[in-house]
Amino acid sequence: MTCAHVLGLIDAGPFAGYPPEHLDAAFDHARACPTCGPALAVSHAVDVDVAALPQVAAPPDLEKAVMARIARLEDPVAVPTTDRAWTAGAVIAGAIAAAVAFAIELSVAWKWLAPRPDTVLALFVVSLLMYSAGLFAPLAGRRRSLRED
Amino acid sequence: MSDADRDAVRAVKRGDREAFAGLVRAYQGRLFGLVLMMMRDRAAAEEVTQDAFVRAFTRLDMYDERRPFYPWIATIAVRLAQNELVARGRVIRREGAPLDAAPEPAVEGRGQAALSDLVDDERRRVLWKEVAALSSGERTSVLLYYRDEMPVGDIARALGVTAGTIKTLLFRARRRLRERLAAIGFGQEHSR
Repeated sequence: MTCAHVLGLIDAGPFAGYPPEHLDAAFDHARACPTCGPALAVSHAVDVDVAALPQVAAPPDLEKAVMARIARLEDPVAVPTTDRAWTAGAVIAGAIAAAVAFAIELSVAWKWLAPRPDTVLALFVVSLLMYSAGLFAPLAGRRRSLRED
Repeated sequence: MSDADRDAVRAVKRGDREAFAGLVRAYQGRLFGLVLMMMRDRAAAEEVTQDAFVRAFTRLDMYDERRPFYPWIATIAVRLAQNELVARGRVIRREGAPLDAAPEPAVEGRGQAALSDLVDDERRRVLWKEVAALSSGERTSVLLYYRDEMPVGDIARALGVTAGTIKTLLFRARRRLRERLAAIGFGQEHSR
């Protein structure tokens, strides 16, 4: 039985997959060996002392913070109504913008309208802005609700 | 699961929010200590601990009352902490540093200082520092197994790995602690 093998068994601790008589022989060796003996003592000390390490004190307001977050979860009033109104408005604006842009595009393509190029450009920019707002508003709302979770 | 925990969980399910506050009081120190040792950042650990309790509250109907409460909430906390650590790793990767060089929050940072402050015994202070210097997986496994006395199977579920992996992590941690601590004469008094 080599010291390397015994040290491996010491490090494996309760998970050493050997028969009890093999482990007994290994620990007999360890107790008599100048290399394995100190290793066995340190290993034992680590087992005992890690189990006895003190608990950390939680931050003093942790319980209060948790319960406040739970209260907000259960109380829909906690979500500012202005945020929800803004999100809904932006989605509606985005939908209207998409519809207007589509109608203008069709009208120009089928020559029902012949607007000036700068008018088309202005309409396009305004529609694009409204569409972008509508597109990203749900994401902004979701980020807010995740922060509140 | 203790009768008190079972009663508290049942009361929460009936709508008694104060009963959940009792569970928070009972486990906040243990859970915060675990997350702090994983993350080594006091502010992040506090955030994750809060998240874990809130998530436990919202998912209490998924909790099996026949099993102990602490391993269940510890599993939630460990996974949230892992996600946070992975997200931090992603940020570091995006910024161009190699992942292996990604520093975990400094060992001498606020979290570590807070842990050391707890320990007036120099010998245990040394042990805390050596445990804190283990890899994240080793550190978490050691705390859950030795201090929180969770079975290997429960630790494996919490970390999302096999029981064999946990045994390997514990083996490596024990070897590393033994080698480092032997070098400074730790444990000699046990052999006398």
